[in-house]
Amino acid sequence: MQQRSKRIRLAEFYRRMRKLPAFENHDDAFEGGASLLDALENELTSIPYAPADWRSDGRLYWPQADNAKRIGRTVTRYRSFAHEMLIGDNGSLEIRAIGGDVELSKPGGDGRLVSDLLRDESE
Amino acid sequence: MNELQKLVDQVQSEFDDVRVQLDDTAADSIFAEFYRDQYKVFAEWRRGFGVGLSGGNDFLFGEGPHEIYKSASDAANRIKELLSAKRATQSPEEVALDRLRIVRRMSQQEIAKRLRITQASVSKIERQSDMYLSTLGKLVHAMGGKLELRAKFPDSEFRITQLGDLAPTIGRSARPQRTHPRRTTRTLKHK
Repeated sequence: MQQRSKRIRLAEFYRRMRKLPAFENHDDAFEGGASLLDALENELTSIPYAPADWRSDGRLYWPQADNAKRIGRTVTRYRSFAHEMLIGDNGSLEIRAIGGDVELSKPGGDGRLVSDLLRDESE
Repeated sequence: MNELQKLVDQVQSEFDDVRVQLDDTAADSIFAEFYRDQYKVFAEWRRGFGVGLSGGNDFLFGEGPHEIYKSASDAANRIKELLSAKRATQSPEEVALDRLRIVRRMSQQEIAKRLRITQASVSKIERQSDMYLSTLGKLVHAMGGKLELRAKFPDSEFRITQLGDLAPTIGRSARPQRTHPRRTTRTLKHK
């Protein structure tokens, strides 16, 4: 089986994330996204799961839990190599390229986006 | 001052038009982003591991750094080189032979001299999609590396040793190890 490119696999990850029912809280969103990405990479590649290797091995990895920082009252930020992931306490999730665009924005269980939570906090 | 700050200072001392953003919000890492026009170099310093970096305009979520440097000074030199050339790095698993040579900062002429072949032959090898393992081994050896053959499985990985040394002595003819079955030519004889 020829391995699909990372770009195609990432697009597939975003497609499946959007189709999933909304997550109800932060922990569900963090675990749900991690499980989906790991399952997808196991399905579409033969690269073993080895997050400790750090250097790119061709597999896509979910951000590390210890890279979390609380921003505001209701949002947690996870920094990865070239992206940041924001997860709201309502289960909303947003993935942004550093210095670039929002690549995925998924509402939480109450229908509100991360940007809604941050806007409310700034008002 | 941490290693990454030293690295940033080294880079900024040579470029007036590079904007740098530092991010120290993660527990064990500090991130630095270097922007020059539309070109970016991202760097991450990890205590005890060194500096990981990637350059380009487009980075994928979930991907780690393309290159790792133990010394901040080596990483700074590489970042300066990338910012000058505005060239995209490639993840190791995708590197083509010509890119590998460029990363190793070697010319086709240098490789040719080491292998005692012509520059045109090096160019031809770099464009081939199929070749003897011994040829590939010599090429990697000429760049200062060592070729290894590994079989990767979902739960384990093995280094294959059956083929022996894949970086034979340069300039000495070695019996080639084929990556594909030998094609046989049948000679028809008229009776």
